[in-house]
Amino acid sequence: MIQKLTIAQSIAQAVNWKAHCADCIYLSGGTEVNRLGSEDHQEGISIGRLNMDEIRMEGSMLAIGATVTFTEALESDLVPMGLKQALRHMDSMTKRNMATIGGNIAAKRDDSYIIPALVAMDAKLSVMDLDRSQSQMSLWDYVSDPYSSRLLIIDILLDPKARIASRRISRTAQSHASITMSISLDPALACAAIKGTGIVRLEGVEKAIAKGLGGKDLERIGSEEPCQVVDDIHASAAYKRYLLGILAADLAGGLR
Amino acid sequence: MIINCTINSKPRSFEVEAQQTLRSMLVLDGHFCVRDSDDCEGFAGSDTVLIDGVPVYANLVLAGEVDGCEIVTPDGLSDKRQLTIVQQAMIDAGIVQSAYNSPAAALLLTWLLNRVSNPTREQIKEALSGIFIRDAGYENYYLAVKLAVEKIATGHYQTQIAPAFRDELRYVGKTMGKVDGPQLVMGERAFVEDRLQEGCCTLKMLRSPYASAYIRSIDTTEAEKVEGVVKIITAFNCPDVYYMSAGQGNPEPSPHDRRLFNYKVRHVGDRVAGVVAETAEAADEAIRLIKVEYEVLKPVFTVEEAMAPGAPAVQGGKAVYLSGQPEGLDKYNEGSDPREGQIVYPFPLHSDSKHNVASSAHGAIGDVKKGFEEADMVIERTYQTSQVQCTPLETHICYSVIDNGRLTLHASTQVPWHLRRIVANVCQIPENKVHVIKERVGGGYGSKQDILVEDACAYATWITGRPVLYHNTRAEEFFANSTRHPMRVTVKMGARKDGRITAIQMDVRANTGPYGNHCLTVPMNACSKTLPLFKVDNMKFDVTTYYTNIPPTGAYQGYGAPKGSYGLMMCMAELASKLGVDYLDMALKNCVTEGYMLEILKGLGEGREGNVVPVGSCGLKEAILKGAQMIEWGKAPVNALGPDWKIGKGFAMIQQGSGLPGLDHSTALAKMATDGTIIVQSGGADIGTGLDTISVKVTSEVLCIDPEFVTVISGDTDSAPFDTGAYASSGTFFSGNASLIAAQNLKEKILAEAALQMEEDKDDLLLEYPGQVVSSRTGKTLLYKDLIHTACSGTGRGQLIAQGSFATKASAVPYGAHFAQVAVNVRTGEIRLQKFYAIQDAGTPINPELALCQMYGAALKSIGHSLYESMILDEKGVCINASFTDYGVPMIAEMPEDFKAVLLDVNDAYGPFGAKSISEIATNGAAPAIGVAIANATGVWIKTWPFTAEKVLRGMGRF
Ligand SMILES: Cc1cc2nc3c(=O)[nH]c(=O)nc-3n(C[C@H](O)[C@H](O)[C@H](O)COP(=O)(O)OP(=O)(O)OC[C@H]3O[C@@H](n4cnc5c(N)ncnc54)[C@H](O)[C@@H]3O)c2cc1C
Ligand code: FES
Repeated sequence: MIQKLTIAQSIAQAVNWKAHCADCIYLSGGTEVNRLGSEDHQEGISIGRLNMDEIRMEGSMLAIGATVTFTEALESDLVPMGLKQALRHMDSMTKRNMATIGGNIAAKRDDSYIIPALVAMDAKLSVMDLDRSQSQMSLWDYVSDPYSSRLLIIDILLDPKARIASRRISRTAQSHASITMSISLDPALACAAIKGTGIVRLEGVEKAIAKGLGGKDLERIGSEEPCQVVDDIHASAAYKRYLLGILAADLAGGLR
Repeated sequence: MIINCTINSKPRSFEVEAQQTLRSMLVLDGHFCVRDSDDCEGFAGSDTVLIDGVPVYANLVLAGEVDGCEIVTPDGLSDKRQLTIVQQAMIDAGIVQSAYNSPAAALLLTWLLNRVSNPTREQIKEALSGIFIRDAGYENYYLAVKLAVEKIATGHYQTQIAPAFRDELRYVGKTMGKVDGPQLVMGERAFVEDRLQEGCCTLKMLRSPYASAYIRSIDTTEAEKVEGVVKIITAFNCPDVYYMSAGQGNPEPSPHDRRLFNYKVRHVGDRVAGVVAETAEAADEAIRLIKVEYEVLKPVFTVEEAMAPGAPAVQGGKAVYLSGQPEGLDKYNEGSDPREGQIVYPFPLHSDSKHNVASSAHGAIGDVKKGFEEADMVIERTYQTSQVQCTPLETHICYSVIDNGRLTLHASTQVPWHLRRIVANVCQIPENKVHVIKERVGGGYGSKQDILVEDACAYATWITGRPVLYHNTRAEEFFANSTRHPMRVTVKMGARKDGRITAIQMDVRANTGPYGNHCLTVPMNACSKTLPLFKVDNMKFDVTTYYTNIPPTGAYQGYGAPKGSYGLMMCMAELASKLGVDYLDMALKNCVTEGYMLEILKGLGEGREGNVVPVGSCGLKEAILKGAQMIEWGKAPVNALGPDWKIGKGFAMIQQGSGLPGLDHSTALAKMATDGTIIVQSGGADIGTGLDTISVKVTSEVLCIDPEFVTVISGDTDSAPFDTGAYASSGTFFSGNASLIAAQNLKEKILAEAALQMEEDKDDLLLEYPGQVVSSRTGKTLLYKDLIHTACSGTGRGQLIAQGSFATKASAVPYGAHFAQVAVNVRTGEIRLQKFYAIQDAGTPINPELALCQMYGAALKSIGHSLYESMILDEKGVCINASFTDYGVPMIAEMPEDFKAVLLDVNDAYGPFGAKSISEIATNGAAPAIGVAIANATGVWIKTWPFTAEKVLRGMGRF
């Protein structure tokens, strides 16, 4: 929970506040920050009124504002089906009305709904650092950067023609996912959010896809990805490993 | 910070704290039906509101963010207590049951219909995807939308809401709308939390971090210094009274093995100290400052660990018998550590607490050994069920105050009179000093048959004189509440080649956890509500319940029956498949029919000899045949999902009881108000199921008066007479019969009084709709209002008041069959529940639409424990999935794709107007029906619930 709320009126103001407060966090849809079990933070900087909720084409790239909600993205004709499939992993409509794309990325959860899809789409982020410098970076770099929480995500940029397929395996539609995986064939990209492990780039699978492998080969390669997989309350490590292979093969097979 | 917004179209301005949630702001502003049922988890949707026309969770929005916004709350839907079309349709469709989330659901459906005039099933599913409904399942929400759409378009409903029963009756067996529906759906004050007075104290618990430990000392010095702390109660200053939490008939078939606070903690989350403080913050701070020294002991968690030689005793206290003391008790008690406390047995439960046996029961008919010898095939299988939480949306709550020197409890309980007895005992005061007001109950499902918060809350008020609120968090519901007993059920079954069963043997080992509430009755139900389904001459059962250090167990809809049913039916289905006999034929060959003498019942009484009776009205065979026809049993299912999916079908036959004949007792009063309307004071505790509506209907039916002119006051120990309470499916049969008898007795009084006033012979008089007496001889009529006016005018014979008392030895057993069709993905293990058909004989369904929703709700709960739900403990006994998301309750996405509830037309000889019970039974079928269907699809007989994808794949040897 946060102890104090400030409502930013401009992007610069939000970043400025954050720069002067180590324990301040950006507050977007609030479905992560304000929910049970969330970390305590001194101050939340609300970024809901910064006009970052536009979905637009920028040249050949689709730009999705960071405060676009899951619902707004699902209702947009511009957003590609592949991403919509991943957005629907968040099963509660009410939550989709609140939760934002930027918030989901920044939360970097090990059961992330959309990071695997966005990685498979080779998405980029337009971000602003604490010194107010604005830059673009690959989503994967953002995910891999342990200090990325300092960055304000402004836009998510992606190729609307990117073709991906995603699957989320969970016991109920709203319980934690054991695995959420997305795959693209061209370029060969594969990413999974693995409960208890984190967000993992499936490099073995990517190489195998690039070589045109599929079926049993992908099943084996996927299940042998070198990441550490652990037992958790919903699934054993063995089942998750097995799924890494099965999903990789099925998703790639489906795209072919 | 100051914010301006509109709430329900009215401009409002608030000064809000920075971290204040929107919900807290709204509740302080009087919109108390914006609730929280999951500790701000963002799961259950009790806090749904609209911000600028969009549904959101108010607990996850900070108040400071809504400046300039338009907010709509559920109580803003209806104007001047006038139901909207949607709210009315929800009541009419029967979905307003315990209704904690009904206002929020009404808001969502209204929002949907404002956007889409005729929404598809998918759109309705979407709109309801963020709201948890535990009571009525979700199926009739689709019907409610359909009704609303029709009403908006044409001014009336075109769809039949539910089938009608008993043409000769006006109200019974017809849809009518639940009498408390408007109050609940509009979000008016109804629940305990709506009754709080400003400035009341809060009671919070310091809970044990250990599964088993003696409390060496508790130092509350620093805690007591916290400003606002009123009292700290511990084992060292609480009354030395042993009792148990189960609200059961007296003498209770459970050991009294606990005090308010004990010197030994027996599970993680057990009570250590209760802090009464003026604010929740002060209570939290005091809890932080209490210093406890523990002597940590080795815990046991499973039945196997509890049974093991040398296992530590969970309840090692001195045994005391109030009756039937066994020989050698002094020797047995030798060496008992006083810190263990005592175990007081109202009567012997065949226990051996030193070896963790809380209770046991055994019985048999025929010769099982001979029966197995006569069999062509015998199989023996062991099934294990998990610990499951009832998860009522309204967590356990009590609000107690002193009023005129008496203790008044606003309670969310299924058992007001047992609650009064137990609380009086704990506080050491006579029962006349305690007044229990059962408020509307936002979901009980058995868990509110236990006195889990009221004891401490009442005692806190009694010793401090302060109004006290005690409200469980969602997490506390998991680790400190009552849950389904985990059970190990071993079934041995033998049959001839033609499928005729020659012998059945059941061995049930139940895990009661730290305390013995329900330790006999719940596990007994694993046998008593399953074996009597079978026409088998040789049957034997052994039931043993063990103490362990898991979180407490207790009653949950169905008691032990879902577990027994899972074992028995799965075993029969597997035996059928091994014999090459059709499972359906085998069931039909072995199931009981009307008139069959149930000798097995002799050993199945709850703590005493059972009553052997023949099978009464019985729709079992009809249910099996109907379900078989609906699901096209024997016909290969169409597989539209592709080669990775395998389809299978299964079913289970089920039964329950209607209360406890010979143990339960209900009473009611019916009186005529001075304008000829009727007040019924019923002891029955309506927990959302529609029991008050039953009382209204039977009264209206007997007295020929419009239900509008009948009011029921129920579950209030001051104003209504005694009733054992709403458990064991007793409501309709017992409390309903009491209201019926009260109405019949009032009818006699009306006729007698009318005979005097009309100067007619009583035998010539009849009651006639709407509310008058008519003479068949002279044609003269007398309106009730005139009759009662004369009776109460100072020269008459006074108010007409009649009592109804119902106790019986007769049984009204509901029967049924539940059918399932599953699709199993043999690559991922995913299980899709394609079809679920619940076919039940509930006698005359007095409220057919409510009965159907009870079936949907109970079936979905049991689908929950079959496929998803399970409490998980770590090696120290900590429940590590104590939230909805972690635990995994079924939401609308988990609904069977094709879900049907069917009521058979059966008329019972003993139930009120032929009615039997409806809902508990509906929890008994899912596990075996789905388990058999999975086996039918994949060949894997899963022997532990929940049936997860992983278990299917392991069974198939996939990894
Ligand atoms: C019951 C429940 C279950 C959930 N299950 C899942 C799940 O399975 N998978 C999952 O991924 N999520 C889950 N969530 C979390 C959450 O709903 C989503 O991650 C959501 O997308 C977060 O978006 P938000 O806008 O609500 O983020 P917020 O709660 O506002 O913020 C989340 C994080 O992102 C940061 N942030 C927000 N916007 C930006 C920005 N533009 N730039 C930089 N940082 C930013 C915040 O500082 C914070 O650290 C669950 C939530 C609930 C309530
Ligand atoms: S956050 Fe919605 S009910 Fe608790």
